[in-house]
Amino acid sequence: MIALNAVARRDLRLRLAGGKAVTMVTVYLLVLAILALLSLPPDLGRLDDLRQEGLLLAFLVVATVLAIYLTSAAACGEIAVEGEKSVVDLAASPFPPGVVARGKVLTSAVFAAWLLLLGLPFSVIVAGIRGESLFAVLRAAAVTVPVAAAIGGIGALFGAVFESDFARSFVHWLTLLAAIVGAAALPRPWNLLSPVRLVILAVRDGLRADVLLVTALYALLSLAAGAAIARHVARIRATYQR
Amino acid sequence: MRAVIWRWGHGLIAMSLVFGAAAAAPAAAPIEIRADLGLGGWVVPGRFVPLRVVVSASTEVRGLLEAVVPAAGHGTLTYTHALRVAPHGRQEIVFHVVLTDPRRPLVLRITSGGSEIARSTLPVGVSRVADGIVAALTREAAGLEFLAAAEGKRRAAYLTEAALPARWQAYDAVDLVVIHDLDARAVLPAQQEALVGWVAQGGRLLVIAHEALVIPPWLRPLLPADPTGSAARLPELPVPLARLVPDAGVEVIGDGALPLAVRGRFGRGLVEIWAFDPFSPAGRSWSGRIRQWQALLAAPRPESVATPALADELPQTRPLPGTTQVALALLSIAYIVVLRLVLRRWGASRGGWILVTAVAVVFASALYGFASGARTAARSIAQVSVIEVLPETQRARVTTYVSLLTPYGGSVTAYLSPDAAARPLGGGVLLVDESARAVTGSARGGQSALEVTEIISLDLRAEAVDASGTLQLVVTSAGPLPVDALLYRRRQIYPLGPGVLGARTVLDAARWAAVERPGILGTDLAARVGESLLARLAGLPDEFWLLGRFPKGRAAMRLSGGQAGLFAQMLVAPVRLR
Repeated sequence: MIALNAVARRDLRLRLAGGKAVTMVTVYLLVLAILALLSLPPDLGRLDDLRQEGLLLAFLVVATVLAIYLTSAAACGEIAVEGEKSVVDLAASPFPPGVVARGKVLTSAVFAAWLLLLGLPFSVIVAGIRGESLFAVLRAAAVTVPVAAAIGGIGALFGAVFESDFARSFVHWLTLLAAIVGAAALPRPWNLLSPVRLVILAVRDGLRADVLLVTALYALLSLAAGAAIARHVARIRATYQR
Repeated sequence: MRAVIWRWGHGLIAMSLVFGAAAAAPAAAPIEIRADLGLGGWVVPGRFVPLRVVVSASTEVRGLLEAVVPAAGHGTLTYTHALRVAPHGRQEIVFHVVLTDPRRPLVLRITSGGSEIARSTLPVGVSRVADGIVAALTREAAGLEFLAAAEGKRRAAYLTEAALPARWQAYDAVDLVVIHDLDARAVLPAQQEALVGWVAQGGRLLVIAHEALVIPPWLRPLLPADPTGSAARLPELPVPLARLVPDAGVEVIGDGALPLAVRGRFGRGLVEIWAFDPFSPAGRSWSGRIRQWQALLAAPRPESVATPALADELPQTRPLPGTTQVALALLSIAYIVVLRLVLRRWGASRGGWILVTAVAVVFASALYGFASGARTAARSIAQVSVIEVLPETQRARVTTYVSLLTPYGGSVTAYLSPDAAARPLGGGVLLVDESARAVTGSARGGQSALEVTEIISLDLRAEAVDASGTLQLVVTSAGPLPVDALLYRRRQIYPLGPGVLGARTVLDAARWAAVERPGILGTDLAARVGESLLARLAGLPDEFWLLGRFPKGRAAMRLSGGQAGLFAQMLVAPVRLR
């Protein structure tokens, strides 16, 4: 992983050990821990037949949304990790634009996977107590990582495009709402574009063809975001070279 | 040349695969499944009926016989029994099944090594449904034709000795058992005990006295009269009458010197002996017999003190123990603290991510194991038993309501005591393993409560004796006496506890108290069940009852570790006034 990209290597090290990053991870884990412990009362699972599975599903949906938000917020600079260089900063570095773009997208993908891995002990509490398969947790992760990589990549692009913190945060939240809430309100089958709906189907019905297709679309979107970042870096450099 | 070798080589491989597969495949065992449902082919929905299955095979069969019975809703009741048929042999297995939806067929399957090797479908249909069954033990299948024209849908089942049930619960659908012809040598002890037990707990038995009938010793204690065998004729009757010598205190029907019938009680059951033979040609043509049949079938049947409403007192779920919840919380906090420490100390160092991953995986494994263990430990049962003393029979009927507790899903398996039979109180999916006497069910699919019935030996007698103006309660018992007992009479209770009940208690008229106030007996499960029983006793005809906790810990169902789960056991005995 570390040998792949210098930008990603540095970003990930900072997100692992930086003071604010550790606090961010701690808050994330505390939220998941509280959710897991709240799912212990047995009556929650007796309301109807689906509730046993539904509790794990609800947990995984929350974990997914949190992972997507934290990934994209860290990428766009809404949550500033000490020492992490933004796309604009990296434009002044000797790294080629492609390395910067790949590094930012890779950082988002690995960080999302990392968050899901750190949340695994709480996912397995819910799965274990409700007797659910651990494959459901893996399926949720399999669709969450490409989505988080795509939205994280877009977040990194926003960090480069918008200089104002307010504008960046506004557009970032607009993107999150559009992807998570707006897409879920679309008629079928377009509502599958929502990460929440995607995770629900992946957990309940497995990695069906339509789920894999949308996941692949998000993976392509992360590549597109990377291409846009590279282009933007090149443009910044061209502007300063002139 | 190479092409030829190539082609032939592939051909040989393909042939060897085909023939090898054919040789490896087990030859289809010619297995025949024959099944006979109900008594005389009749079934009563919601009641136990026997299902006789005969499996014969020309080769050895080892496996499991499954009878899948449709239950309420989309549920199923699956009864299983181990199967071992020798080559050219047969095995007969009798299940006591509860059928609720006769429109759906029963499925009989034989599985071996997890795969199905034979299957048969047994259609039932509404045409085989009856409201009740009159089972007659008679050589000639005739004499009960009048039932077809009578009110309701009672149907006749003509049985032989071999078809008599070996468990009393199999008579559940029967309104009346008639003994006309009886070869005492052909009735096994289990069949005798099943019939006696069923009558004792409230069944109705009719014995037809005629010259050819020899009363076996096991049947004599049930009869209210002694048939002498010699026949006599009355001018107003077209049928000869056997001479009956009535016991003391029984009801004589007809002429006192030459009674037409004698009616008595055995336990809570009703036993009648007729001096005339309604199955004989003369008896069948006598119109007066119909009145006798109607009077007998219209006699009220005793109601059980225990009703399914008691199941409402049982918990439907149970939370994880507090220690388990605290342990899970502490493990979670420990994980976060350790992870923070590792992230701060080694997060930025080379290979630090491996350490962080290891911490997450180790804690995930520990927490998953802990959570799975807690889930398994949470599965349990709760049960409440009501032991109804059957007077003068040295027996008691035990009705147990069992709640299957699977708070986090999955199923729970509990084991039945030897004579017990379980019936679901709702839909869902239930598995009854007749070989292991095990019942497996889940609360998740709607299946949460069972009714388990059995008859036990219990010699307890309670009498209220009026001795020179003071009332005394005299309790005689060969076994343990009830604990924290009380007397019930006309919505009033007389506390006899706390502690073990004495053999003789002088009753003080001032100590009677009304039972209107809820919680008067306490708040635990036994107390709640006791109050529910008091409410039930108010609607029963016997007005004087003894009620108490049964001290001997005998549970109708136990978990695999021998635990009975949450358990309460109450004893109820009618008190005879003397």
